[in-house]
Amino acid sequence: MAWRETVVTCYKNPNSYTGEDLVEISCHGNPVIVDKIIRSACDLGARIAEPGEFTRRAFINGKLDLVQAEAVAGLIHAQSTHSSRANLHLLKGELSQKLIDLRQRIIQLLAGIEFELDISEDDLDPELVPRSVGIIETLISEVSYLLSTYYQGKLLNSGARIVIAGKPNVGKSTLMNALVQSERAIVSTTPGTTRDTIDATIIIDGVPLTLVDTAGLRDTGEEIELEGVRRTRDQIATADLVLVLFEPTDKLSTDSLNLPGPTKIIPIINKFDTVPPSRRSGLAAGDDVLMISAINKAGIDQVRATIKSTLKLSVPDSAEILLTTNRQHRALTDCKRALSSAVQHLQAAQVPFELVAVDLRDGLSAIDRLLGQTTADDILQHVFNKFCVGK
Amino acid sequence: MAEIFQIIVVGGGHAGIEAALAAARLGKKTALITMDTRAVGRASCNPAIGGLAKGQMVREIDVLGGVMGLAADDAGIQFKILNRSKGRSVWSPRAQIDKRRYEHYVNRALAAEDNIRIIEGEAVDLTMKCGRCRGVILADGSTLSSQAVILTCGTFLNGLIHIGGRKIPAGRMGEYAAAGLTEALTALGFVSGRLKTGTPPRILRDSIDWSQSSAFYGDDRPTPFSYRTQHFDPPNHACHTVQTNQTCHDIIHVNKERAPLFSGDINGAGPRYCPSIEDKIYRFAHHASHTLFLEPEWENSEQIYVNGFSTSLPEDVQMKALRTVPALKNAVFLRPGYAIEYDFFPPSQLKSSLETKLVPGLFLGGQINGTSGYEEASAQGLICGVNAACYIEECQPLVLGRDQAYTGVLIDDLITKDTLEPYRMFTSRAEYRLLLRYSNADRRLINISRKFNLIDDPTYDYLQQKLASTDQLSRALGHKIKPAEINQRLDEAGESTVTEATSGSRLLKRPAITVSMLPARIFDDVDLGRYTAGIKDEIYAEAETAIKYAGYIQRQKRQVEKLAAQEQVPIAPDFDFSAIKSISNEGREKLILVRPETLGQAMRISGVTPADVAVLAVVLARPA
Repeated sequence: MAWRETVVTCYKNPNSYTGEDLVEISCHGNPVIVDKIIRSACDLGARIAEPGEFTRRAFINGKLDLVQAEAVAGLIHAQSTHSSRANLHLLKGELSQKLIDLRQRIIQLLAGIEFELDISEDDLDPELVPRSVGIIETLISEVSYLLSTYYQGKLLNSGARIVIAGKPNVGKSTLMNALVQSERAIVSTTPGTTRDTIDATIIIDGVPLTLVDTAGLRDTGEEIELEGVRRTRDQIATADLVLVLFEPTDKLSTDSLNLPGPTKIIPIINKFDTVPPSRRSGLAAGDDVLMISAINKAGIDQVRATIKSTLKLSVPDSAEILLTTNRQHRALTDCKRALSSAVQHLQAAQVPFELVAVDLRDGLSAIDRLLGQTTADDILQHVFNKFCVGK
Repeated sequence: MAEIFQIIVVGGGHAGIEAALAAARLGKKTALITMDTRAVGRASCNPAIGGLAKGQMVREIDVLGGVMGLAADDAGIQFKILNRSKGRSVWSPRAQIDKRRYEHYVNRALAAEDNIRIIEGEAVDLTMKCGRCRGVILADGSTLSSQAVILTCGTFLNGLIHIGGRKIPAGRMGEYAAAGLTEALTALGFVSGRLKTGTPPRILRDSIDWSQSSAFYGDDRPTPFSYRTQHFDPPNHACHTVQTNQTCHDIIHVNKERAPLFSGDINGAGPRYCPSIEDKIYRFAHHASHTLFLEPEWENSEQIYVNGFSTSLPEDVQMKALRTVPALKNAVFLRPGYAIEYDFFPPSQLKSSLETKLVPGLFLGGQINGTSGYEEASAQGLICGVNAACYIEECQPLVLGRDQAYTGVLIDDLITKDTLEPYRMFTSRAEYRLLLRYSNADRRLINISRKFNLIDDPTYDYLQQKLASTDQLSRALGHKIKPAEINQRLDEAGESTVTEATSGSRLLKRPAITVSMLPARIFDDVDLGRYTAGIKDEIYAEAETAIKYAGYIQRQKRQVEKLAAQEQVPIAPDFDFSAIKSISNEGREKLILVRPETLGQAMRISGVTPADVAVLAVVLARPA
């Protein structure tokens, strides 16, 4: 009988996912059967793996570098095909390859400088400075490009938070429902119904967008509602985008929201259908104010389109390498800063080569940190291979 | 009747000499055993002391009471600070020396120590008592007892010279190899390995057409190595250079197979940084020529050292190839170049005190640890001597940090890194290079030197004074300077002028500005009159460096502090690395092999990843 057939595959180290001896059991998917196999194994001394344990072991045994290990986590949590594709690129080591390539070029550069400091007793090679500056500038532009992909990568991996804000009863929950196309939030005409924040996730162009419905902002004495207002302000402070809802009769001002400086907003006038058509054109001060009727689902497509354009959502080029984590972004920012400082030193009238070397090593260690590697004797190794040294 | 010493040093090369002198200065009755009393202190290869990274080490040896700097100052015939144009931390002093005079100086220093006895003989075995090393047995069967033994055997252990197909068992040309000691150590459980090094031919001065070479001299204002050198007025003799050419390369290329390095006769790995000429031509085939340095071995030397032409080729090929160089058309050989293979003991078998992990009371220093170079050997010898004395007195050994001295970098690297070739010091091996300047060796090491009683009172007082003067100068440079006092100078230096009173230190931040450009009135009250011109230069340079590199120096110091806690975490000698599950297989193997003494050492072992170290740190922090 087919369900009794079980395939056991043995992987000898180091040729396995973790780099250790590994046994894989493929069986019928019936949970009862799976559970029975697991229990028999545990009876014989096995234990259930901790979350991420296989990947941790693979990293420890050098089968994956840190960037790839991160991608495994990203892949497990991927909420869209675009996101999983971006993580697959990382897992396949495409970003790692790129980083290894950058690293190799920095080492070559360092070798040239260390040769001058450590071995050569001749006068300085006049080409060294202009050549090094050229190489570092290319490196900087490549690192900058990688950094620029972080926005897209972060969106794909972590998505964006969109907060819907406005006075009580302006129709925030209705808009959210219209966007989610389900009855996720409670909709009520009593001002202050939504006292807590409520969220739901929609996916546009592969990017998971978390919509956060908030308590209406107004001065209130009621304690529970006050708490809701406080939470709303917290939500706004960390939002990637705020949809600000107004009544047609409101003054279009966001002053009451206490928006942090760089927050992106989309001002929206709801209930525009309550205004006679002849007066509608006078409502919006500019073209960037949307007019909708959430309850009639009028103008919702326009809201979606504006969200898309404001967050610059676009289907990523499938071959593109993207930075997806804050760790990657931070390390490459450090790397870029170090490289820029090296260029600055190289452009001085009297070049302090040892400081250039310190900067380049900082750049290198940023990449090593990212990959979880050590530099060890790589630089001298390169010096020996590249230059004819010794008297 | 067995003689009783406290410390026995086996080998009278650079390492052995510093070891014996340090032990003796610390009051230990010391025997220096050498196979040839006339060869003590012989500089067996190039006639120079110091150089890039090595010059810094000579200064360190000097502050720690060693003899190398004094001897080089006495024997120097050309002094030069290398890398002047390339950055302050890599400025490195070097001297061409009169090798005979150098030998005489160190022999006089040894003779002046009442605690040292030089014994001619060949050590062939160690005597052990309760698992500790307690003396040596000589080839004549006699036994010398001691509380500690230091082995500094250089290239003598089973030394084998290669000249083409010819093989001569020898420790150096004309000196017997030492047999027996390697076997005695392996019987105790030590692992040995084999390395190779080489030396170039020596040719007759008068057979060289000097008109076809270019002459180079040292600095007009020479800088001594030692802070203790009193009367310093060395000569400035020329060294000469010539270039190899394509015909020369062709001859070597055609005969490549006759070099034991390529024929497979030599198994030991040679140093990549000091390649033989055949290796250079093979690996750098695109270079049309290589520079050769013609260096006198002593003043008015009839023997010329052909630096850059280290080789193991047969003598006839060496001669034929060299004679293609116009200046060497009629060169007469006094001695061919040769390669030498010798035994060494991979230094991961050592503690950071240079005592072996396996046998208490046994210390190893110099080429036996797989290093190359006079300075590397001297530094280790000195540490061996001090720590053998500490061992006897049961006090904490002298261990220098990687941020304190190149000597610290050297020993730490030896213990933690694979030695696949003879180890030579480079400034780039030091992650805190900016902190390790030749000009601040005194500041780095004066206190530790004092603590271990290595520095005499007059030197200590003098250096304290010099450091105080440097600090005074640094403070004085904070004074404001009016535009009228400095603008003309700034203009001349191509720098933008200032419009308001500006402090000296602010101006010194500009790369082109030096202390000597500033109006002297701001540091008038700093009394620098008592110093020699060279030391005054050094005080200026140190004050300048502190200002110019302030940001970077601070950063490196912060890195040192950050790592300090991790660095010091001890690992028990019997710690069971095999019991740690979550580390890489390679990391575990290397940890078991090296048995690091601290987490800091563990972190630098090649093959141990940062992830391994993180796991190890957690395990070590867990209460037992």
